[in-house]
Amino acid sequence: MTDTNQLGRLPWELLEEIVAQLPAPDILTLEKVARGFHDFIRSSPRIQHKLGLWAAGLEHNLSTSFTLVDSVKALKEYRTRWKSVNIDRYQTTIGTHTFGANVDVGGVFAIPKDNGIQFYTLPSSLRAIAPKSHKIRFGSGVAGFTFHPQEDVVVVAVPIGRIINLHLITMSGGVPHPSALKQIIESETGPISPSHSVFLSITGHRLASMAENTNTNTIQLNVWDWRTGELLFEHHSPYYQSLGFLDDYRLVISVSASKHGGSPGLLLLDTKRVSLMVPTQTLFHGPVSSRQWICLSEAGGYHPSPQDTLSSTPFYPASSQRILALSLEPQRGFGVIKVETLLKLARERAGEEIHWEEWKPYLVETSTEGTLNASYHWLSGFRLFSASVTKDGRRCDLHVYDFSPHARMKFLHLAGDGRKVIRPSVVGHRLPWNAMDIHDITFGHDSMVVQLCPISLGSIPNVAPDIESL
Amino acid sequence: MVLLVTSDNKNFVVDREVADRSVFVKNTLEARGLSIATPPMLNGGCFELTSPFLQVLEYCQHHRGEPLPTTDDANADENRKRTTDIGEWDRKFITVDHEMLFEIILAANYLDIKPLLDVGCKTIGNMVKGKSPEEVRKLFDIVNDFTPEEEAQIKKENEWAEDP
Repeated sequence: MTDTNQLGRLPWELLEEIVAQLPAPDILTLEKVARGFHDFIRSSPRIQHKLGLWAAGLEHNLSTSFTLVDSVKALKEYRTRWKSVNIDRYQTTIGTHTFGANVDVGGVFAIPKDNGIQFYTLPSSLRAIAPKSHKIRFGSGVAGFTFHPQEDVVVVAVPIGRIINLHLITMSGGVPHPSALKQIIESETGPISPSHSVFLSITGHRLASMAENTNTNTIQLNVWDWRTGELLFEHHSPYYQSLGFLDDYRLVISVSASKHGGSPGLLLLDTKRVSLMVPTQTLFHGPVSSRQWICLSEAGGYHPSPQDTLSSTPFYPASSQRILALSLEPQRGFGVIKVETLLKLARERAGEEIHWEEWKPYLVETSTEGTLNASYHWLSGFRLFSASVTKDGRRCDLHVYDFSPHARMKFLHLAGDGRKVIRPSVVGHRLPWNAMDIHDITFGHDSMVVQLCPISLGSIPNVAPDIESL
Repeated sequence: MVLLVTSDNKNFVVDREVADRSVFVKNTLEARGLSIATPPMLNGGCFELTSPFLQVLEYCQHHRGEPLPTTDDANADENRKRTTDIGEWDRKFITVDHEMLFEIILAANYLDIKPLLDVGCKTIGNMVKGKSPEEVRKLFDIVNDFTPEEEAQIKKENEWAEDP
């Protein structure tokens, strides 16, 4: 921002406050006023989010002084940014990895490719940065990987022979991280299958892994202090399914139904003090889908800094608010809850089991028209995406739910118990595609990457999202 | 009574109720258990600070005793957005020249007087609404620093760049 004018002299937060309250067409006008405004507007997640909602028809500002014709014109102009998305650049072949094929942290996403991991920053209208890509290579395949939005560290599970090792490497240089690699499983029964998969979750202090142990036919959970390399916790259970850190220390684990009277649900494990780790608190008992996932999201997502490059920038989330989504049995929909609320619940009801009936207010029902495919649900920022294939198998409907505080759907106060819940009156949108074409979909802050099956390469020009149907 | 001192060393004695409109002053007084607060530099001392401060005091005097907005309301943002109208008294109060308007906004921000800050921000927002880029430049004395190449670039930059 130049200092030569009064507006430019205002602190950044004030300018954002002023711009964010404007009708979207006025914001787009301001972009054209001067370079400072342009860069400022493109770099503000809050303003970009507002524009995104507006383009999706979710936000109407009736106080606009624009005529309908002008508003529609501005909208069309804005939407050309979406139309220009060139999806085929990000195709990958189907079948090499069916699990954990994509990791999406904020606007950075990564796919395993050619015995390595390819990272991308998604091109985004935030600053109209060019997509950056960056590759880390290994001698063999990748069973799972994850990275942290704020640390320059990538954790990769690499099966070699009878062993699965976790490598810690820097994202920026692809060189080994000062913390050494860790071995999680050594198979006694023979080489580990290339399709073996490992769930990973990392925070500033802890690293957790979950992998099938073929020796015991159970799922093995390990928790480390990854900076020191100390293994803090190790446990086997045939019922473990998935995991994710709610904050720096608290780990949530989903479990399937046990044959010995247990029921599916979520466990909470506080990894801060090892002595307190067992027993874990049962947070939730209910019909978590057997093909379930749990999914944690940093709200606001990845926010590129002015010197944005993959090789030099630490990653930081634009906001610390997070939500957690879990899929329940097919047709039952999603449980979506603010992590803050979940932790409060856990505190208030310490040691108690919280039945899933009590979670019902948090449930978001999805369409029951189609059959749900668990691999087609994901959470990015505050948006939850659900792709369901119609019964005839010919069409894929993509539902987009927006849980952001600025969206119409609010985190509401429930009278009486004082707990905040998300109202299930979700705004859902559909993007029809040919279901057979889609391999996977990844979302950045405001861009979308669709990976297509190679068989339908011919149809690429048609796969750009049909924005009109939003 | 509270003694407030501006950064250009002018003293103002006001009622506690008036001074409390500023969350900054209120918190300072409560934290220290004092009746004297000294707001440090309001804006680097480049301008005559007494004059915007007098305006701010006038505002505080008018709105004395009104409940302060709460920040923990989840819908506060929404409510603020909905009330795009500015009250009659506030509208007259804020009808000042640009220089003063910006000074008042900076002072309200520094002193943490949220309602006054809102009035200021809305006023600027209303000035911008419906204007063309050229009109906005004229209004706030902004130089168009895009080169013709950049203007062309802006049109182009929505297209995805090539992979490096």
